[in-house]
Amino acid sequence: MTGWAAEGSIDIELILTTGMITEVRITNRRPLGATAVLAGRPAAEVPELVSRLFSVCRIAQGIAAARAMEAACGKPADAAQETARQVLLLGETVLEHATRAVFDWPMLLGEAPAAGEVKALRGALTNLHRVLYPDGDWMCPGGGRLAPDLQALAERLATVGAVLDRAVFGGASGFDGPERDDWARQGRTAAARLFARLAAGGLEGFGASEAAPLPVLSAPALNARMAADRDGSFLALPEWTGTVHHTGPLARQADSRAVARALAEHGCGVLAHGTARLVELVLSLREMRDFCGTLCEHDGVPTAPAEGCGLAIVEAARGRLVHRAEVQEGNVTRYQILAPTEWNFRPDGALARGLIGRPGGDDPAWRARLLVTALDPCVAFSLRVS
Amino acid sequence: MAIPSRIVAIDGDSATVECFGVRRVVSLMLMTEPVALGDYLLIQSGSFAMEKVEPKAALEALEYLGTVVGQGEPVTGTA
Repeated sequence: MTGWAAEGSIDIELILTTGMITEVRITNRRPLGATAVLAGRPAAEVPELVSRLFSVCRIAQGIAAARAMEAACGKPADAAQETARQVLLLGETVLEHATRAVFDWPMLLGEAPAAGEVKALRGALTNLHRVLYPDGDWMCPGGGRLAPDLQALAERLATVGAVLDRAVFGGASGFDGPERDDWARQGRTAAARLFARLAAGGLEGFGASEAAPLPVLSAPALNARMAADRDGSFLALPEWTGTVHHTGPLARQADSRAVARALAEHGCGVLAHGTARLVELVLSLREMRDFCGTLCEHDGVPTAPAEGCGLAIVEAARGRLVHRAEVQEGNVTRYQILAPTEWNFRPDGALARGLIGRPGGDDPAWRARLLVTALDPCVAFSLRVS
Repeated sequence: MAIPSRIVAIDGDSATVECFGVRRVVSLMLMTEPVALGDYLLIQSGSFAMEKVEPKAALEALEYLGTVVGQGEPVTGTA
């Protein structure tokens, strides 16, 4: 018996002194060594196994694994396969972001979560791969049998669009400056009401820190860093050139007009995080619709490395996801995953730095939950105030 | 990572599930299909069942993960 939920958790303790958060203690109980089960497995089978075992963001995990195998044998998948993969990745991002907005955000407000809307979104997006890859081989290195059912895809996207219009955007014309403030004041959705509550409480900048957005990383440098990480310390406590970074929608959308404005007005606090999530939700659904016109039938060329090392970098819903595989005689000998949660929730990372020195207010745990939800760990979290 | 957990009791819209000897109560409010005792569920955010897993796939996953879950030390630090 482990005594802990097997998938682990992020346990956070806040220490307050005269109303200020003066110390943050974070314990990451995620089973970071779980990739050890992949050693000894045939390389061609690993992506399917990865997508089953690492099933939070299973699409991003499966695609990262497929790309790592393709990189190990120097044979990237055809552009048609990559387009389909991008649609699947965007679908997963839409599902995760929308779930935060219609499920987690109402709970932050003390409202009932919109379970029916989550079910509708999951019905349209969880098994989106079946619409593109009827044989279920979407994660096959080299690509699977791509036979998109464009009508079914369009119907699913219409369902998602209707849910988002009804339950998230509620008539929003944009998230820039005055438009955002008007939308928040009207309060038609939980997302709008959360933004209004941040404004009413002067909490727009809560959680801002000097943690920098994760920049583009050099693949060779990252590969070398991970290759040298024999004790797993880099995967557990990632930093880049000594700098602590955050990753996720805010890091990706910082240049969009609405997010740039939120950053300029309030810094990289919870308002900027929330704005970035909504902006990315809009953009991701739009991109999916745009990609529909370029999807085509294509038979992948299954491939698997006999020898080699491959690195894959994928922008998953929660942030940058990196997979690295070493292969000998057709079998994986070493497999590593660097996940977004380890960047955002390292003990001196974006969460801790965003909380330290902040006033706890009447309910410091609630304030901390705002930032934890914004940074979006891939496992459950607990919060304790001392 | 979401590890398949087996339902050992159902009480309305919630269920008690077990995984590697640890039991917890989870909400079934997000399930889109009916569940029964003995079914395997994937749990997200600690307390919400999200989907059912076929028993064969669940047992395979548990067999793989049984060798690594609970191993290693948690990463702890204070800022």
